[in-house]
Amino acid sequence: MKQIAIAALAARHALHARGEALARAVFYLAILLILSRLWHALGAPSSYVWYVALTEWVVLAMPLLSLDIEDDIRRGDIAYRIARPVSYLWTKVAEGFGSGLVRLFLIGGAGGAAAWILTGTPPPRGVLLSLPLATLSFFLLVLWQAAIGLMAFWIGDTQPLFWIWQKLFFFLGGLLFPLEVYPEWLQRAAQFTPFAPLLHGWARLAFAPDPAVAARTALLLLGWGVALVAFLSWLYRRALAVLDVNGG
Amino acid sequence: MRYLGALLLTNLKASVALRGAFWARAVFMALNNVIMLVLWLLFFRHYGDVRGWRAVDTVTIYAVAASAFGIAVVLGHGVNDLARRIHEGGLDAFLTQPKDVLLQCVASKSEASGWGDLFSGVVLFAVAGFLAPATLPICLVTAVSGAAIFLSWNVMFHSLAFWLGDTTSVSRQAWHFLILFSLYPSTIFGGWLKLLLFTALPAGFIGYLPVDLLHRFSWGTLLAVLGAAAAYVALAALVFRLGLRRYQSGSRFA
Amino acid sequence: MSGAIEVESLRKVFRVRERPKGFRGALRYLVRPPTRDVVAVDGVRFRIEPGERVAFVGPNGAGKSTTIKMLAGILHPTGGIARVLGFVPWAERKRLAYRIGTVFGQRTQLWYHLPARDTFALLARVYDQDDATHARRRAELVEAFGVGRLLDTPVRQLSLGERMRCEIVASLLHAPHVLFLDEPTIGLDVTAKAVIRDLVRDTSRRDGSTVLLTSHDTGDMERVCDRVLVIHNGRLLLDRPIADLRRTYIRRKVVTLLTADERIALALPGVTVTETAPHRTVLEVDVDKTPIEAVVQAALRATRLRDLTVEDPPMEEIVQAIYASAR
Repeated sequence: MKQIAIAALAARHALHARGEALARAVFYLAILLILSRLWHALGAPSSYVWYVALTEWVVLAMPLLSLDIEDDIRRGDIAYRIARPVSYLWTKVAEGFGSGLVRLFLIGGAGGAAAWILTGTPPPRGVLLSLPLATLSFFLLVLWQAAIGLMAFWIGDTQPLFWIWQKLFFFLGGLLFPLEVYPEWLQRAAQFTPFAPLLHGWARLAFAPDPAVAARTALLLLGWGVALVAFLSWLYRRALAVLDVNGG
Repeated sequence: MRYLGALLLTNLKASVALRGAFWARAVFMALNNVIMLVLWLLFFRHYGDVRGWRAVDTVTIYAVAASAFGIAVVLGHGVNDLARRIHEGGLDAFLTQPKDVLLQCVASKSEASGWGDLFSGVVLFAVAGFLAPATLPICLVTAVSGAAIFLSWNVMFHSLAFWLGDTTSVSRQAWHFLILFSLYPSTIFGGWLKLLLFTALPAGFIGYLPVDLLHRFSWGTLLAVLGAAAAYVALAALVFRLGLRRYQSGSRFA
Repeated sequence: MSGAIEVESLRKVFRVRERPKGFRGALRYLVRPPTRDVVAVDGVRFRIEPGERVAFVGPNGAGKSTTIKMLAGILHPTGGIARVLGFVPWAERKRLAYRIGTVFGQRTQLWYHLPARDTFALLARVYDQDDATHARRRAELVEAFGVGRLLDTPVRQLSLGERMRCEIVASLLHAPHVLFLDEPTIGLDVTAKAVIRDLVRDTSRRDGSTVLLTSHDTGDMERVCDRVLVIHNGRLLLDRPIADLRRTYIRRKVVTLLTADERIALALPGVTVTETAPHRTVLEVDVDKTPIEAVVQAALRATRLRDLTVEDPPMEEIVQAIYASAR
C-alpha cells in the first residue's frame, strides 16, 4: 500500500529531525523528574512513576499533525494535494504515524532509563504488556489530530479546539495522575469517553498488570479506532465538498 | 512615555482586529486553565496535601503564574518572532526608527489567549481570597514581576540567535520548561533542584516566592522577588545589546 | 554648505564562515571555523548635496544595499568615513533616525492587520511629532499620494501598489531630510511603478529632501533621479548626471520606421536591423558612423514613410555597457 511507503519516508525524515526529538526528550526527562518527586513526597508506589513515564511517552511523541493540516488548508496548498492520485488525508495520517513512531522509539529509551534511575527499580512486568497497546493508542491519537486539523475547513483557527481536546484528554485519560485518584463516579464516567482507554486503559498495567484489563482496553481501542476512521472519512468527504464549492 | 502607550495600544488594536479568533482564543484558554485546576483539586481531594502544600496553595500559584503569563503574552508576544527576525535580518526596519529596537520587536504582537490567562488569574486570586485591599497590591506586583521574568527569559533564548542561527524552537522549549516548573507544589523540590529554581530557571521567583509572600508578607521576600525580576531584565537587555552590536557588524552575510 | 551625505573611503568586509567539507573539515570547524573575507564595499567615495536625487545602480551583490544600510545606521563599516546630515550614522543612530526616512521594498513598517491610519498615528509618537504638525503633514501627503480612501482598510487587504504608496507616505510623515529607498518598485506592475516614481520625485522637489534610491530597475533611475552612482563589486564605477550617461556611453540611437513598402533595405555603415515585421523596421544606428540625418534621408529615398521614431536605447543597455567596460 502506498501509505506504508509514505510512512516509511516520513520516518526517515524524522530521523534527521533529531533536534526536535532531543527537545521532546529533555522535556520528558524534566517532567519525569518532577512527577517522581511528587509521588515520592506522597509515598506513592514507584510504579506510579512508571505509569507517568508511559503516558508522557506517548503524548510527547505525538506529532503536531493538526497544525500541519491547518497550515495546508490556510495556505491553500491542500487544493493542489487533493489533485494527486493518493488520498491527502490518509497520506497525512501515514506521515504523522511514520514520524511519530520514530520519535516514540527515540525518546522511549530515554524515558525508560530515566524512570529506572529515578525510581531505583526496573520496569514492572506490566510495562512490556502495555507496549503494543501504546502503539495502537498512538495511532488513534494521530487520527484525532487529523480530525482536529480538518476542522480548519470550518473554523479556521483550530488551536483553541485543540487546547480543549488536549486538556480533556489529559484529564479523562489520566495523563499525570492515574484515574484511581478521582472519585468513583468520575472514574466510571471517564470509561465512557474515548479518552480513558487512550492512556489510563493501558498505562495502568504498570501498577496493575491484569491481562483481562489489557484485553478489554485493546477491544475498546479497536472499537474507538473503527469509529474514528469512519468519522474521519465522513469529515473528509464533507471537507472535499466544501473545497469543491469554494474552489480552494 | 507617550510612545510606549501608543505602541502598546496599537499592538492591542491589531490583536483585536481579528475578532473571531480573539474571543475563541481568550475564552478557550480560560477554559483550558479551569480544566487543569479541576484536575489539581481532585488530586488534593484524594491526597489532602503534599508535605504541607494544600489545594489553596496550588490555586494561588496558578493565579500568580497565569496572571504573569497573561500579561507577558498580551503585551509582548512579539518576542516569539525575535530569533527569526535576527536570523533573517528583520531588525533593520526597527533600527531605522529612533526608538529602542528590543521594545519595538517585543511589543509588535499580542496573543489573545493571554487575556484568558489573565482573566483566570484574577478569578483565582479572588477564589483564594487575595483580592482584599491588604493583598491586592502584592498580587499586582507579583504578576508584573512574573511577566518581566517570563519575557526576559524568552528574550535571552531568542537573542542567542545573534550567535547561533535561528533559535526559535529551542526558545519555545525553554519557554515550556519555565512554565512547567512554575506550577508544581514547591514542597516536592529539595536540594540542588530547589537551588536551580532560584537561579538558572527562575520558576521559584515566578511562583513559589509570590505564594509565600501572599500568605505571610515579608520585606525580604518582596525584595527578593523584585530584585530577581530586575536582575533578569537587566541580563536580558545586556545579552540583546551585545547581540545587536554583533548584528550591526554584519556577521551574517547581508 | 556641507553635503547631505558625505562618504569617504567607505569599506565593509564581511567575515563569512566556510561550510565544513568532509569529516576532517567538520572537526576543524568545531575548533576554529575557517572564515573567508568578503569585501562588499571597497573604498567608496561620493558626496550628495541637499535636495539631490541620486540613484544607486548595480547588479546583485554589488554592494548597494550594504552601503545604504551603513548610511542608515543599520550596519557598522569596517573602515572609512560617512556623514549623513552631519551625523555619523552608526554612532548617532537614534538622533539621525529622526531626520531620515527609509523604505525597504521587501519589508514593511505598516502593521499588517490594521488600517494604515493606525500606523500613521503610532509614527507620530515614534518621531515625537506634535499633533498639529502631524495632522497637517498627513493631510498633505494623503492628498498628494491619493491614499485617502485606503486609510481605513486593513493593510493586508491592499494591493501591492496601494501598500507601497502607504508605505512611502509613512516614511515621509516626519518630514525627513533624507529618504533612503531600497528597491521601492519591486514586484509592481508598470502603471504602479510609474505612479510611485512620479510621486517620489515630486515630493522630493516640493520638500527639498534628498533621495538615495537603490534599484535594479533602471526605470526608477531615469524617472526619479538626476544623478547616478554605478557600483559593481563594491567599487564605484561611475558618478554622473543621468543626462551625461547617454551622451557619453552610447553613441547609438534606435530608429523605428513604419513604411509604405512591406520591406526596405538600407545598407549604411553602423546601421543594423534589429527587428522586421511587415511595414515595420527597427534599426540600431551608430551615430559615430552614420548620423541620424543620413539614415532618415536614405529611408525617404527607399520608400514612403508613414511614421518615424528616434529613441535613445534602453538604459539597461547603457548600464550593461558600463559594467562591461569595468571588467
